[in-house]
Amino acid sequence: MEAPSSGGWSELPVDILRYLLERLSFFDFHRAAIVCSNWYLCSKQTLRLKFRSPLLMLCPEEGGCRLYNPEEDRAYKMIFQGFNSWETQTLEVFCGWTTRVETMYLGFCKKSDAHYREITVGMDVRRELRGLDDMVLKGYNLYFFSTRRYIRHLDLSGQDGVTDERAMYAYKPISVGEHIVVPTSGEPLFLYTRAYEPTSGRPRIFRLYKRDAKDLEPNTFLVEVDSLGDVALFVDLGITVPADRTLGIEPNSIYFTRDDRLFNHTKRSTPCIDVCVYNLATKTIKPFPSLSNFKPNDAMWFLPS
Amino acid sequence: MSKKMIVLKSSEGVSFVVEEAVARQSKIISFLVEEFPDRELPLTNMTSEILRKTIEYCKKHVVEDDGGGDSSSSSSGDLKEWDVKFVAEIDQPRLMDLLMAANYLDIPSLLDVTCQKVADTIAACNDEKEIRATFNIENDFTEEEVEAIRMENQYPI
Repeated sequence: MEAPSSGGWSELPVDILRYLLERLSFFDFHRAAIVCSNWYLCSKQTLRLKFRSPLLMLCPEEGGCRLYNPEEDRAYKMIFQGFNSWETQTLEVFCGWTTRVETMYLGFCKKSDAHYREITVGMDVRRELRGLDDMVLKGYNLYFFSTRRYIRHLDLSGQDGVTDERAMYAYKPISVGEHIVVPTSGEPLFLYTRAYEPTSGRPRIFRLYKRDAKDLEPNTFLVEVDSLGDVALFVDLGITVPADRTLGIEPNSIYFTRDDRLFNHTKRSTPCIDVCVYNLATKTIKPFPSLSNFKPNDAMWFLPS
Repeated sequence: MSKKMIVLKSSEGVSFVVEEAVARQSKIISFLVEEFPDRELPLTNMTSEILRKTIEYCKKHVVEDDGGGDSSSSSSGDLKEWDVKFVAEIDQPRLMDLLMAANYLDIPSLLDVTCQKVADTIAACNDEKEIRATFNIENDFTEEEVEAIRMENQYPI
């Protein structure tokens, strides 16, 4: 094979090389940049617009680390040492459980530091800031999501590191319930409900499920029920009743009062009474506003005989 | 309507007679033809082999462009297929010469397909060592320099 006439691939004119590098994928571009000094210098002058596309870091079972590029549908071995430490460039946050006591240990370490400094998420912080459901590190800003749905922001850029900047409250469900209902015919139904704080303005969620009659396998998942048909479901009684217009029993409806009757017998927390009728067809909730005058401790739908 | 022919001369002094429309796909030749009509155009930095390849590419593309004004999607698809086959048959050193020719003669579509072939070849390599081996490039970095560049390439947070 004869040698190329000019200086070869490393000596390509800058404009051609730049044109070439511009069309490489993120990974190929970085590989090409360390091929030789000419290619490297040219890579510095190349505008790469596709660099911000999302990447997925994978840790396969056999160990090591891979980067997946969804644009190419291709996973790459982590050849660049630098990639492994991109998150630890300036700051490292360590999160784990101490074996001594059943509490979470959280510490941070800046690049110049020799050891971790602890961030407390346990008993010595305000009640609503305790616990850790999620965590995000953005630059020197560390955001926590506490178990009580507060967002805590720590600015770690300062000399001493920690400043508690603000706490934000997020809506959380105030009541979550799971019920079974045995209809007049067919398999038992499963009802899941969830309610948010009234201030959230979000309506209570109702989801109804049943077993697929054709499926005899005991471990299969339930299928969602979109309609009860001409039937009303009474959660408190655990039964279904044929709808009856003259009696005012609405079709395709769930008569609901509360989620927490079984679990609130200790009377330690205030009961969460939410009397309503949910219509599966229109997905609307019919409230009974005048009931709020009564401040009930309990409530229950029943059918007079 | 007789087709005007022009003469291109390779570095070995071999003359190629081509239709003007074919040659005019090169913006440089297009310019030269207007400046120096009825003259042989010497292309001293192009071998006969590369010039022949370039003309082959231009001939194929002028026919398609000539055909029905806006070429239909199927014919442009065929043309793409032809392009892929065309670059697939070229070996590494000649690919570079052809790429340089496309750049020198200013034929954007030929530059595009040749560059894509190079990009695809790079993508098929597992690491930079394989790229060097494939393209016969010498590693002129010290180990420290490579390490420094790798550190630069950290993904920004």
